[in-house]
Amino acid sequence: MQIVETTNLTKRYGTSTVVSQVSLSVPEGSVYGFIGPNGAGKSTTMKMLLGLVKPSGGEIHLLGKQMNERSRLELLRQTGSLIESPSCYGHLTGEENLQIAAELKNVPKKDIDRVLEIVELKDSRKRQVKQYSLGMRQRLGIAQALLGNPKLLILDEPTNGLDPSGIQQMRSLIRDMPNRCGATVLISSHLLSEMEQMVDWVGILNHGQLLFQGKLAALRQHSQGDISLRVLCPEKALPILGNLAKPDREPGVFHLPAMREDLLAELVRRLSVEAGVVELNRHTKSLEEIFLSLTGEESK
Amino acid sequence: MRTLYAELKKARRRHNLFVAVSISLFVLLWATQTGGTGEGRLEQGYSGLFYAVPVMNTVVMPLGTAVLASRLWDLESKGNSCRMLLTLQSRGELFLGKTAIALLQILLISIIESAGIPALGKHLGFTEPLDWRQFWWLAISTFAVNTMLFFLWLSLSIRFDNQVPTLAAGMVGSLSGLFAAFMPSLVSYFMPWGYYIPLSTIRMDWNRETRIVRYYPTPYPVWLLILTAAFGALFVVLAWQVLKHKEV
Repeated sequence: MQIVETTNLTKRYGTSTVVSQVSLSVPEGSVYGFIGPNGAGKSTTMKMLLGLVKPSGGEIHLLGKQMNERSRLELLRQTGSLIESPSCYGHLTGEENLQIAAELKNVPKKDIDRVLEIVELKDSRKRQVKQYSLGMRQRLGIAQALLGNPKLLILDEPTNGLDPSGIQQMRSLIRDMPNRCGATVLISSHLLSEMEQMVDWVGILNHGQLLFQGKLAALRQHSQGDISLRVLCPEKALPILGNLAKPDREPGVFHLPAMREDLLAELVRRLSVEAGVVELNRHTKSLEEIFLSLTGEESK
Repeated sequence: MRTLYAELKKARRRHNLFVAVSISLFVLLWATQTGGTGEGRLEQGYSGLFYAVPVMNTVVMPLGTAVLASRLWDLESKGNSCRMLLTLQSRGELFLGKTAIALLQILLISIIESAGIPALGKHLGFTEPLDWRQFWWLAISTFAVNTMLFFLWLSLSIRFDNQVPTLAAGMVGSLSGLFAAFMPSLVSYFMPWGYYIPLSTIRMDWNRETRIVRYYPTPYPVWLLILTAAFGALFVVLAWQVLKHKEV
C-alpha cells in the first residue's frame, strides 16, 4: 500500500510554478528521502501534504484516502509532522508542550511518557523549552509528531542546525522509526550524505519537478560509475582495450565506462591471460554525484 | 473544549490575567485621583467616576488592548506553532479559541472596572446614590469598545509576526483618541479608539470663576453603541480573514 500518493501535484504563486506536476508514491513501512537543493519545492510539497498550503492542482491521497477540506484533520490525526523548525512554546515545559499537542490530537496523556522515552527527553520533561538546546527542541518536535502512534511521519529538514552528535542521534531515531513505531517516514533534506545513511526510497526534486523516484539501490544501479583496472603489462592490455579505456596517469591503470557484467567478465578473462589483472574496482557514485548528474549541475 | 483547554494551557506563565487586572486597576485608581475624590466631591463622587473612567480608558485601553492582543498571538509567532496547530485543528477552531480567551480577558477588565466603582464609592464614603443604569451602561460600553479594539489589533498581530506594529498602533490609538476628546464631537465619531468618551453619558461643567465642577447626565447614545458593535463585528471578520489567508 502507498501511504502517500500524489497525482500531478502543482503549486503556483502568481506566474511562478514552485511545484510542477509531482506524483509522489511513498510505500508503507519505508523511510522515503525527499532530496533537493534549497528552493526545489520540498517544503511546499510537504506543506501541501499537510494541508498548510493549498495546491493549485493535482490530488493527494494520504493513508489510502483522498485528502480534502473535510477529511484533512481526520487524516492528519494519524500523521505526525515537523516542518522546518520545531513548533514549541518556550515558556512551557517540554511536558506541557506535549500535553497541548496530545489534547488537540485526542491522545491519552500517558502516551507522553512513551514519546519522551523514545526521544530521550524524559529527564528534561520539567524544564522550560527556552532552556533546551536546539537538538533537544528538534527531539521535542519529533516527540510531538510521534504522539498517538502515527502511521506517517512527515519531517522537513529535521537535522537543520544540529551539531554532528545531534545529527547522528536524529539519524538513528529516524532510521529506526519503521521498526520501532511502525511508522512510514517521509523526510526531506538537502544533505545527501546524511540521507544516504537513513533512507531506503528516494525522490529527487529540482526546480519543482520530480526527477527520480524509486529505491535507493535502484538509483545506484542506474548510476553505476566507472571501473578502474590495473594490469601488469599495460602494452599488452592496450590492443585488447582499444578505445574502450582511458589510461590513467598512474602506469598500468585504465578507466573503463560502466558496462554489462557479462561483457566485463569476458574482458577481464582476456586481460588476465594476456596482461595480468592485478586490481579491479567499480567506482560507485555517491548520492551527491548521482544527484548532481540528474539535476545537470555536475558540469557547473 | 479541547481548543479552550489548549489555549488555557498555553497561557500558563504568561501572566495574562495579571496584565488584564493591572490595566483595569490602573484605570480605576487613576480615575479616582481625577474624578472621584477631593473636598466637596463626595456628593457627586459616582458621577465623577462615571465621567473620569471613560477618559482614562481612552488613554489606557487602546494600548492596553493592543498589549493583550499581541501577547495572545505573539506566543504562536515566537513558537512557530501555527504549522503544528493547523495540522491538529482547523483555522476556525484556532480563531474561536483565541476569541474565547480574549473575551474572557476583556470581560474581566470590564467587571473589575465596573465593580470597582461601587466598591470605591463605599470605601471613600460617596453620599451620591449610585445610578445603576449608568453603571451598566459604562460596563457594556467599555466591553464593546475594548472588544472592537482588541480584534482590530489582533488582525495586525496575526498579519505581522513582529508585534511592534500592533503596539505602535495601540499607542497612536491612545494618543489620537485622547486628542479627539478635545475636538468637536463629530471628529470623535471618526476615531473608534476614542469611543469611550462619546459613549459616556456624564458630562462635566467647570465654572472658571467659582472653580466648581458639576457633573450632569446626557441621553444614552444607543446608536453609537450599535455602531461600535458593527465596527467590532467588522474587525472580527477582518481578523478571521487575516488568519484564514495566513501562510504558515
